[in-house]
Amino acid sequence: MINFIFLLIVPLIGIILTLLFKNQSKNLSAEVIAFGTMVATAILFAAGLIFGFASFGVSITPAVDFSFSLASNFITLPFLLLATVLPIPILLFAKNEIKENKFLFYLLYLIIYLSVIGVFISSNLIVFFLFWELAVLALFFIVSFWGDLKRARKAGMKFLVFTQFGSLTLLAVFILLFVYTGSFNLQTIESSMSAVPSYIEYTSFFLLLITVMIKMPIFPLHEWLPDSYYSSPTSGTMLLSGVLSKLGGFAFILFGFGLFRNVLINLRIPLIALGVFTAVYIAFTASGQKDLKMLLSYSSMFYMALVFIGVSSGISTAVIGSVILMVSHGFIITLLFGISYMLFKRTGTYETSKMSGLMSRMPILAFFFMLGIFASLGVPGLSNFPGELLIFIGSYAVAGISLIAIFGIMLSTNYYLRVLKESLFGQLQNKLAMVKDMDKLEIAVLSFLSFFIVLIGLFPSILINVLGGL
Amino acid sequence: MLYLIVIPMLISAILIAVLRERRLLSWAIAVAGAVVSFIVSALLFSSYFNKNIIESYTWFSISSLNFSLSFIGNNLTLFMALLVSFISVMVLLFAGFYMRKERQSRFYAEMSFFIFSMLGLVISNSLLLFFIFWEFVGITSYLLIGFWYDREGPAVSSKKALLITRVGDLSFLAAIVILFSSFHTFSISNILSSLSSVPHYVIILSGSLLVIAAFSKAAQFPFYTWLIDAMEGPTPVSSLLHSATMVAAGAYLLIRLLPLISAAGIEEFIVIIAFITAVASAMLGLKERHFKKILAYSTIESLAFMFMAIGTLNAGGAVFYLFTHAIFKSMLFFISGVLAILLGTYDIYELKNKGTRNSWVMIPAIIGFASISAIPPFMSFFAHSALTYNFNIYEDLTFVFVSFLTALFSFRALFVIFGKKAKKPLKKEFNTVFPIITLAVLSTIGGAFLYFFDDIIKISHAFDYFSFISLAAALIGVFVAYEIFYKDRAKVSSEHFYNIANKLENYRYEKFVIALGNCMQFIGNGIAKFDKMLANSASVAAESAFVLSSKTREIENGDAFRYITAVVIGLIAFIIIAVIFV
Amino acid sequence: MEYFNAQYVLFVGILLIILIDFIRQSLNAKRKVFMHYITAAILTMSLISTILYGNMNIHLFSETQYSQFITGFMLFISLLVYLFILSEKKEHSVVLDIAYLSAVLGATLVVISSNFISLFLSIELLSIASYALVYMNKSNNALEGAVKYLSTGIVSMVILIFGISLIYAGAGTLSFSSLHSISYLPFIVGVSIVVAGLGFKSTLVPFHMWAPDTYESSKSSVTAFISSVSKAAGLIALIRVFFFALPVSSSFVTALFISIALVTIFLSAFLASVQDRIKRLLAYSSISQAGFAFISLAVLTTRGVNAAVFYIFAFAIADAIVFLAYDIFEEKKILYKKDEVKMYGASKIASITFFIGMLSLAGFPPTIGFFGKLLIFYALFSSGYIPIVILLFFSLLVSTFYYFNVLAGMRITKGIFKKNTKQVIHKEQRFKEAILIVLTLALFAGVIFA
Repeated sequence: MINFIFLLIVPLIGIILTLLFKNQSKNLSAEVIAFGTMVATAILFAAGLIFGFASFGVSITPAVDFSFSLASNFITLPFLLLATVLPIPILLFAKNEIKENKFLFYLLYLIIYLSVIGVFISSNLIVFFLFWELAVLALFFIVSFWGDLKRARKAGMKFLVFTQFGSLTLLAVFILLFVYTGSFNLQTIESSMSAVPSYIEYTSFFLLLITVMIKMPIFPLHEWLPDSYYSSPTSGTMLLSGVLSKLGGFAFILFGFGLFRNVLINLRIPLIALGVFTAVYIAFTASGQKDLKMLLSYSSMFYMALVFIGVSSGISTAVIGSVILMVSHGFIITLLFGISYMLFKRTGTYETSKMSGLMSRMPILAFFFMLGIFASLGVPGLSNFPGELLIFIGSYAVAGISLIAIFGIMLSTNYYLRVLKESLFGQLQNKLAMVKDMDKLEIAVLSFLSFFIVLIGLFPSILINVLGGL
Repeated sequence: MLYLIVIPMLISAILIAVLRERRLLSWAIAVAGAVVSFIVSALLFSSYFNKNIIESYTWFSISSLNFSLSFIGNNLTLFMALLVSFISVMVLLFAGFYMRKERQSRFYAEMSFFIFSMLGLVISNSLLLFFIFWEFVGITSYLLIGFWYDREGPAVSSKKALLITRVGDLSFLAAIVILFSSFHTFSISNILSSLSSVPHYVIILSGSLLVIAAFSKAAQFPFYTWLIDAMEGPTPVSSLLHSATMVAAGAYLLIRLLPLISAAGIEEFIVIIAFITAVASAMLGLKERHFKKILAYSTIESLAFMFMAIGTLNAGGAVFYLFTHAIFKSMLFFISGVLAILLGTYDIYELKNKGTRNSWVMIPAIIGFASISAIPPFMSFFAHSALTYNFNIYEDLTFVFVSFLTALFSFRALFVIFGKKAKKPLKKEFNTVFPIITLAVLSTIGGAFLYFFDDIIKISHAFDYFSFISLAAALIGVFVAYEIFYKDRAKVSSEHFYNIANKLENYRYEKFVIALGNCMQFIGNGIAKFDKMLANSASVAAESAFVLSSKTREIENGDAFRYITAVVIGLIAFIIIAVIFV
Repeated sequence: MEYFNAQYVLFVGILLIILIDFIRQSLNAKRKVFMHYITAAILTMSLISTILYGNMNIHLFSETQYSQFITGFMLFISLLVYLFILSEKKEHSVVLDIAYLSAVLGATLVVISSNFISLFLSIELLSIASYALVYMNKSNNALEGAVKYLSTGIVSMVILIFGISLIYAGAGTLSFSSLHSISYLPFIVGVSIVVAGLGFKSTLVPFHMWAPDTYESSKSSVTAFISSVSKAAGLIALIRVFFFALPVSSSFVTALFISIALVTIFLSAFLASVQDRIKRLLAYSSISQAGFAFISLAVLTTRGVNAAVFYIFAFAIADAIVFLAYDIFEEKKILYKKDEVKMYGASKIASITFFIGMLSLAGFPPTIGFFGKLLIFYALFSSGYIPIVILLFFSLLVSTFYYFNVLAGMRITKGIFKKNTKQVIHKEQRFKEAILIVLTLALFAGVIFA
């Protein structure tokens, strides 16, 4: 049995080591520590999958029921896979990208790593919120310190203000639950949900919805997304879209589906309609983007809108689909952002219309690019397909309008193929004649990501089996 | 055991991709894989003859919902597997000639993967599996059309092909979702056996979506424009994917789900679209100069014939025509490929000028074009008699007209291409001669199949007066073509002809599709702008708050008297509130 | 040990210092340092006595359920702030020691006052000593700051005493424990006037206007005292009067308090976001903190008061940290927001503690400020003020904006972070940094009081 606390202790040791060895630059650099820490955590996680996890609990102040307790809930494990494994390849990308203040960057990186894991395993809501905020804060500094100089500060601030509002509404939900159930412990709350009057349930649900809509994000509250995704360093964008946006979905499933299911079921038609609208709207917006990084940012939102539809339907099939889609999307979008950065590094632009014919110089990159895009398009055998299928099957049973979101997939086919056509096909430009294909490290990183994309695509039952509680 | 059919090609695809062999090895692996598949299909065909074997594997399951992948072995599916693997062997042999100077490993890996998917598609019983393979063939088609990625043409047309077929893919997906929600199973056989248990609108909705899927894959009327452009790909690809197998998968889907289509009552609609497609493609084919594109138009027309049979609920006729068409059309593609490699062009007038009349090429070509026009004694004459079995009088009449047009445009191609004697004999080679001759012989004597095809799949045919009327129409077409294009007798009428065709060109759907695409892009740009504004609105709100606060700041300018005044005002306000409350 | 209470210790200490200083002057001893050590010792002793024996408990002053805790943290902060002042390079006069001790005495007396008269006197003691403290800075505009403080202070004292007299007219007594009569007009009016008078000390809008000017013109270490201990005393006085003493109709008080608090919170948040000088920004943020404590008091439930007391503790300690840290920056001439990039270079520890203090003020976990806000929201939710909380979220967004505008600016750029730029770090600064670290640790440890 692996105790959950070890998943936090190991990164914590990493953080301490980073702080201790910050001046010894050569042999034990921050990135080595971060890498080692995360690999160790991932191995622990794998061991936990085999031998089982044990929960952990220490009470700190009984007055506000603030206990440091960790336990797995019904959707923890798939997300934990994302949280423990995905930052490793992102770190390897960051290695090439981040040149300044490495020490601080990896410190913040480890903090995010720790806190995302913490969110997924904490069963006390205060601890949950603590980690949630920690992740937001650390990411804020990554965006504003290492981002695109001109816009980063503003974008970071926008990100912070928006997500902070989401965090506050989430906090309000927690406090409301505490007021009526007298506990911050998730299990206790679940068992005493009957004590919560219905108007409080509705209020809490709306507050939660704000959090989710900001974090995922969903239509009217997504204004922070383009700026922050675009201005942050690519590794930050990967973290944002691959890991952090999943926090929104996680919270939606855990609380919206887990606790306020009655409200969710009453409101599901308008919610699905909102999700469908967002999906189509964002697909259109993404097709209007010239810039690859921006396009990927929007497309990432498109899949989160599908997740929103899935969870809103309140049917376990669709919720399982949403979880699969989120995990799969984490890997895919990381791969695609990675490729966009590689293209940027080699061609000096994110605009695909200024590239062409890169396939002849970079066949390996082209292979991974196509893999990522086909996976995004929901080609069977790759990881998005089971998720999308389950979401549509589940949500159609509730509301036929959810099928309109398929039109969004059509639009995304259009822009993805446009990107492929502009960047890979056609005649090679002279100025690009000397671009180099990916190096060994990059191939290794992308293969690692692709491995998960194909694995989940072929055997979604890996994820479905651990979602037994749904 | 049925998975044995697909395994060899999967193995060869992986092998080729892993070995990345630039020389002949990948070709050999691919051919070997296809031959093994063919043998396995033949063995299974004989052992499962007149049986109905379903092999089911669970992909994953969620509580009671079972997402199963199942194969079915019966006469129809195994016959199709046999046909696909046979044509694949022929095409791969021919590719050994055509693709000699190209990147072998990539081509054969993708081809093998395509054959794997196509074989999987024909034997799958669960709609889910059918869809998976359906998507695979779509993707491989995209990759193969774009094989010459550094040329502008393939780059554009591969994108277009995938985009248009994806309309069908997604409506297929929607249909699956709808069907699964109502039937709680993916199995085609189970769905067809319990059609009456669900509300009628489900049947109509899913049926229509499936028809859209089939039409987009089979390049029927609103969608046909992608297939013409797909001819930018290598000729073996055009021959295997874009005439013999993949596009026919659209028809095959409806053949498999024919009871659902008839229950939905939308078969009349299919017939109408099929006739529109047939007439339009035959007319557009008249104008075309590119050999492969003429064949593409003819493919579209032949697929329309299949849909006519499907629309008249004549599954046997459709299957038999599919079989016939696969044989003669791939042969014609081989011929176009041979001429293109040896003479360096696909343009029929340039071919004529270079001189092509060489018996070993011309005779199979005549057989092929005569097959398109359904002239006896070739196989397709018999196929037509089965095809038109369920036609009513209006359909018959239209079909006579279509026969005339078909003969006209196909023989135009023949007479133009082989208008002059070859300057030197065209080089023969096993990889070209063997497939062409084999297929030519088959399409000559294959008509006899019709008489024992009934044992495999129920089929009825009749040679009545109508058969002969359409034959006569076809012969008239041949004659007219001979007069106009070979003898150049009627210069005037020929020009007249081109005028009509030019006008028709305007009706080619292409412009509309482009306009539609542009429109979508335009909307996309507009919404993107709106979104940017929305994103800025948050900043604007923040800034206006900032300005407002700056104004407020001026109140507190450090004047102590003003502070005291504020205190007094506040105090008075408090007292007033207090008094009001009490 | 009955008389070994904080207040007695302080009082005796003040007398002792005057006496010793008289002796020192008559002996013509030049060194004043030992006087400061004595002052520090007195503060330490009073802290210990509070922890061990609680507060003074005689006629006009009585211990209540929070007072020991409140006096304890007030003395703790006062002690650290004093040590910080002590470590200044230039020596200060003994008068400052006396003024400081008097102010602390005043503040601790406010906490335990159980009668309007004693309350008024305690506040006066605190105020007058504070005027002196502000003036002691001897900078150019210290006088201006002190005068503004004094003039508005006098006005509010007048108001307060007027209010008290009205209450006396209404109730016939000034003792908190025997105020019973209600809905008697002079009484009610008196109550609102008392709010106005006490609002001055606790910087509630519209009695806050002196605060930014005064904070800015006095030395940051003194500001730390005024904005934490002194303001805490004002708020505690409000709690004592309105929760423990006056049996007023709660709907009226709640409505009044909530509107004052909301205005305070929003106005200060917006004003803080447009400041260029860091110190003014901090001043406005401090005003906004008072608003939060006040809104929690407004619900007039035990939960609300619990939350308010805890929140006062939380922001007092955080305010002390940020102002003391800012004192170090001020010496390095980091005055404007655009200078914030230099913070890390000026002092690592100061900038990190400043950072943590700001986080606490902004209410981010795991700092004490977060738990303070948590309790406030809990209190408001328990009484059903859900929309008010949502409204507060918006103000928190604004405050997040200005806090992080400063923090994000603490950009650790390459040039500053170079190891070879050896800073000459004085011993004094080390000492100051040590104090900051102690305070920061207290900030986290404070969570257990929640």
